Amino acid sequence: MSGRTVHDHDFNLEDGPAGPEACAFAAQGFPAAFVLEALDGDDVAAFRQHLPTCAICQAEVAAFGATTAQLPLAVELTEQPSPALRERLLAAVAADSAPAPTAPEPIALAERRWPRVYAVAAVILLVLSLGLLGWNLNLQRQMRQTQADLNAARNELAVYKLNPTSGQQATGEVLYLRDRQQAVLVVNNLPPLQPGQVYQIWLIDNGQPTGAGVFITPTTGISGNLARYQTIAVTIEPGPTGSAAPTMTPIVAGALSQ
Amino acid sequence: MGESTTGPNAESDQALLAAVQRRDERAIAALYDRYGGLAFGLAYRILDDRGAAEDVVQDAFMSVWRRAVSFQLDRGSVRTWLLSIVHHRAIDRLRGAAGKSRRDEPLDEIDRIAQVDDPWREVSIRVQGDVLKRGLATLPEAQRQTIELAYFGGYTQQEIATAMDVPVGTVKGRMRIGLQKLRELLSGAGVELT
Repeated sequence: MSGRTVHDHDFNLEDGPAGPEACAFAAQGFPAAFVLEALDGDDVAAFRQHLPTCAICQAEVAAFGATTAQLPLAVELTEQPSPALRERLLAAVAADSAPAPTAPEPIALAERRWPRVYAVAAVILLVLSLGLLGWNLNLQRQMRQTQADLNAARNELAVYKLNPTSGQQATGEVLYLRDRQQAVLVVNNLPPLQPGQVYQIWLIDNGQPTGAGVFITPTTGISGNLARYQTIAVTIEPGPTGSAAPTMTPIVAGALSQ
Repeated sequence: MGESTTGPNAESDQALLAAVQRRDERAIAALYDRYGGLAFGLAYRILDDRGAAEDVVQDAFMSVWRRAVSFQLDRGSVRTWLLSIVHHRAIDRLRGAAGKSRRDEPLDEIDRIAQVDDPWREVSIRVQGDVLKRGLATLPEAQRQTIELAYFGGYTQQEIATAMDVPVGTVKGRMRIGLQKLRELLSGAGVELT
């Protein structure tokens, strides 16, 4: 099943899997099994040999790899490591007297411990640098433009759901007009405010909350580019202007599209 | 509701990793405080052995410490990178220790680390985790089981085929279709796939 170099068919690296039937490896599900580390020995070797030569499989590995990378978040954290682990780790770090490498270590695709997403990304760059995919880039650009045109109207409005945090009942929605960067937040079953308190909206980027306004009624507006943030949350803060930083865990929170 | 917390951790993952690249030991400690629990949870889910899971977590963080210079800060997620290392090493260990007793000794009563360093990062992770769990729950049972047996169980396609009494091709197909559906569900729910 090896020996293919460049596939003369349509694919889109950013939009994920496409046209797997054009590649025997992709059609048989090798990329998915590869990112799940479920290929048996012979298949691993064959697929590693094939992967650098096949843009379809590279696209599938990248897309499925990104999906698989989310799976750890499904783990219920019922157990915590012992405090001694932190001490052991920091002692090992302190004892590691090797000087810092001055250049990145070479990427070895045969090294299974190397994160595959980055190894594949490196392979893609290498292939691109050799010009083997130049014509495909043009095709991708055309496809993306076409897709963007088709999706333009659909993409104007985004709806994000907000779910209650532990012990809370509130739920809500954010209706976001992307082109105008304006949103409406609707939250139901908010806990009652005490005198002098307000609800405050927080937009969270990489774990860092930024205040996005206060409100006292179930519906309010938000101005700004929500695409810069991963999460929206609501807390109760001292009024009338809220807090510079949140003073409690959120009542309700939801994921925002990028 | 109502519990007071300290302010948010000011350092982003990228900033912490940049500090690790400069050999700042405090930064690797901060990364551990941020993701050590998640890393351990993943390793423990795979290995079902506290000691082995802790070994894997320590090994993974040491790998981050030593290989940080090879990580391109403008590409990819530090969390994803770290957890990929944890997963690879846990699977390696599981397959290397086939046949061993998974619970060699009773669990010790261990004080839980109750203090959450950064509730906002925790919220983001939990929101994504909720989306993922809902997504997995919507998959057909055979696809979900196949993905979980491979990713969390460390089983190969052949082992899964034998266990489920189906051809290997069916296992691969379930993996592919299952991951494709999961990707669509996550994208539709606004989870950033990096």
